[in-house]
Amino acid sequence: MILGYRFQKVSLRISRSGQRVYFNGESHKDFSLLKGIALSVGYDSALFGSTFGFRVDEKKVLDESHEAHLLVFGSDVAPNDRMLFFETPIPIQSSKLEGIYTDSALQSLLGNISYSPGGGVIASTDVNVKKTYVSGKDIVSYSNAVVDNVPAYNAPTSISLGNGSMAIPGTAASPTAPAPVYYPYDVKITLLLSQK
Amino acid sequence: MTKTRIIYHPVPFIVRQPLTPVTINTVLPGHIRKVTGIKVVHSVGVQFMTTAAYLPVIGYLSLEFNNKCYHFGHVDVPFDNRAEASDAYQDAAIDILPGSLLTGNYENKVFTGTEYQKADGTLTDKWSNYIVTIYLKALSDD
Repeated sequence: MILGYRFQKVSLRISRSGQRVYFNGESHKDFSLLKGIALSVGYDSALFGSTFGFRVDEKKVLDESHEAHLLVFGSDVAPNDRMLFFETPIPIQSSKLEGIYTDSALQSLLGNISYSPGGGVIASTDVNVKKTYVSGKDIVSYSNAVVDNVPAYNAPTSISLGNGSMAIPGTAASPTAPAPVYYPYDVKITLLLSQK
Repeated sequence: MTKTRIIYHPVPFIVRQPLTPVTINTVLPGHIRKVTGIKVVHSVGVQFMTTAAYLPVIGYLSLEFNNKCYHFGHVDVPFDNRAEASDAYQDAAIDILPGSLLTGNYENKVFTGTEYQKADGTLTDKWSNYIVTIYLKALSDD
């Protein structure tokens, strides 16, 4: 811990294609400002099309359709280069923090012609299957997460979770098969808290 | 929470036809008061059409705010699949009328020439729909 600052972390595990994982918790009581947020993902190929929404005290900061890869640092990118620093820090006081990570949320839209058949803006309600945050759940520990079983557009019916398990996303809209995505992978969310 | 706070509002749109411009016409949420930064990124789709990790321009975007009263300008949209891709916002200071329209046009530049329609009239089978997202860094009074 740096004096006056704290990096509060949340760990999530994504087990299969299209999975949505919700978490909530409380900001550290000794810190009054949220200054930044970043993600790290163990498997980079899973990033594109995955989204991450974030709320503080039930007020939206990042929409659920915010792309995860814009927030991710890893072996090639330093955390400072990718952390989203809020120019106006968000006041917190033991605030309720919530987030939803959705794997491959945008890929499912590529081959879906039920909306915007000629192309155009995608309504926010189309980006994710379910837009509502899970409210009222008594899960306040960052070590816990609720798995929301939303079926993916092309998710395999079952995926083993052992080492070497693999799932290949569908290619409804793509002429070539994309790189395979390996599951499970972990997502770590880092919140930069400050005392002033 | 203070009365005004920062939010990040994405506006995704899908490109389905290489030769047809995409019209953007959407109402911004009424709680957005000011746009302080804009970023336009490729989301998904182009990686299915190319093995390159970086293409400087996959299309041109023209954006207008406040019911077409404020023309933000033209933006080149790159495809950047590299880890070190820039994620910086372009600075802006646009006061938003409550409930006003965000409008614009997007012109695709992928598979628009002979590579799309060959001399014998056949079309490429490499085309993939793709999604581009406009990110607005905004001040909200929600």
